[in-house]
Amino acid sequence: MNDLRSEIRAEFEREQSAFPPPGHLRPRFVHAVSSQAQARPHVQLAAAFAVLLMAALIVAALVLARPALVPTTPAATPTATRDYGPPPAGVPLFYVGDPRHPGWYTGFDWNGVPRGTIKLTQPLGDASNLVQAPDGSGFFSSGKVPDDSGQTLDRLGKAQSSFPVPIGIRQLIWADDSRHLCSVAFQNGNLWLSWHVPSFSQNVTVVAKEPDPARGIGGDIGLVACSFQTDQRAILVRDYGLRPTEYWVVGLGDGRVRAHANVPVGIINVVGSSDGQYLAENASSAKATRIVELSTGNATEIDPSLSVLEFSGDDKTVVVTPGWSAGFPTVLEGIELATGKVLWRYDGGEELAAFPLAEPGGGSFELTLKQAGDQALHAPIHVLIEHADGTSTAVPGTFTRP
Amino acid sequence: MQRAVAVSVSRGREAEFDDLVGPHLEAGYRTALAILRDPDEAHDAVQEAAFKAWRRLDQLRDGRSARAWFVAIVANQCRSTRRGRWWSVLRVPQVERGSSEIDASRTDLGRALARLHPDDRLPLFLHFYLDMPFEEVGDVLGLSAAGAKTRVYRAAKKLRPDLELTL
Repeated sequence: MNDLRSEIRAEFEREQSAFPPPGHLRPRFVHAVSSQAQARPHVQLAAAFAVLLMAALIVAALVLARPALVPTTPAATPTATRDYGPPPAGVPLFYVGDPRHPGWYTGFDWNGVPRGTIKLTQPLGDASNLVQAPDGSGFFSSGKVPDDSGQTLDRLGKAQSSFPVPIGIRQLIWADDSRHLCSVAFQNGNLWLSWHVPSFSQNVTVVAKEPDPARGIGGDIGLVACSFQTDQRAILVRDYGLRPTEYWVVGLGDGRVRAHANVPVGIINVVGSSDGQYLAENASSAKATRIVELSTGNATEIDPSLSVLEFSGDDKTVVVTPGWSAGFPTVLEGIELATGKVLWRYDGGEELAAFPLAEPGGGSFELTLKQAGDQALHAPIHVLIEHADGTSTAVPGTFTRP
Repeated sequence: MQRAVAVSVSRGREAEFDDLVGPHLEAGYRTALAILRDPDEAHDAVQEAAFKAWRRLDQLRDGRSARAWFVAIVANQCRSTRRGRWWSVLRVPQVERGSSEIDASRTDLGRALARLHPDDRLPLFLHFYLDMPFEEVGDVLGLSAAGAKTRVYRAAKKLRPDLELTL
């Protein structure tokens, strides 16, 4: 350890010696700060005065206008203990669990207004999750409900017997059209990429063979995107040794590989956009995090300290966190891809309880947040909607993860 | 560990600041340089941190380590600076990239250290370069001494994965 201490110290000294501190650092800084401090209060006072004046004007305007005010949206004071009735068709919703009624899930629209409640006939087990379609028009449950295979549910939360979860399933994800499910599943020693709609399944292609079940397929192959809305394609990624090693873009119509690339060493995970057009390669410290446009191969490099968590439904924004390595992210930013502009920022002290959910086709994100450090399986969550215009909507109430 | 000392309220604010924070400005600059690795940005970060320290000087009169207190402000300022500049975009034409350039003058450990995430570099820098004890490292990072020790250990393991540490 002493050797390492000496070596690390020597390396830091080598770095520091290239840029020694500026001369007279102490008196220069003390004087500069003292001068600044005398100058800034005037600016602050002026700003404070301006804020107070504006606040007074706004309050006066509101008081004068009050008799004419008419609510333009339903009163958003959900308690999550109410039954909001059947969810409306054709309205994109996101769902959260009702902590007081196991098996109940409240659907909110993207303005944060509660629009419906689904009630499962049998609450999910502790180890299960309800995975909603991007627009909330369908669900599948993971885990042992009602048996090992899980089940799919319709918009109203009713089990769909005609939409069975495939046997041998390794992974199941919703497509971006909220209608198809895509899967990778073992059938007779082959790992098939397939898609499913009620009463119909289509095997697309064998993506791997399992010559020796004991040896497996040389890593794990999983889906990171599946799209039927803009282009019929899926992105498959092979993980080996706890890191992604290569990915394929596969046409869901013909099963042909449209693109294939190796993932550079130093990438710790990848995230696909829901339409399969972009792939974010999140880096360890050694590499730059990159966002690759798969149709062209063009890549945008960003600070390796940031990790992309999710793409927006319109592919214009990404959610990034600078705090991935520290555990659950507590600082999040919405970044406009074309300009790099920070559209919004969350730094409210709570940590992310699940990956952000993107508004279908839009630019908003649902953030589910829990108290930092709360490791409970069903920790209470709060919900925040971050919009592309930089505004946010806090959904009143405390919920559970679906 | 260095502790803040009580100061006479009759002394001027500048002298008080110089007494309490002045001795640690160089440590702050070196910390900023270790995080940002750019002397101009380090200079700006320390100046902004110093101004924040000036405004919060009252917080220091509770017996805390002045060095850890100021270095923590510098580290936070550096994080803000890094967030502000994150979009250092480079458009590259191909998916595949060439191998990263290697500075032949650097040792393996030096290269590994240079590539280390700033959140990992900081605890190493504080402990091994500034010789901060774990308790003081914890004050900077907002952790207990045990937590700081773990952070240093983990960061060191990233430099030498096969390392068996007995800190």
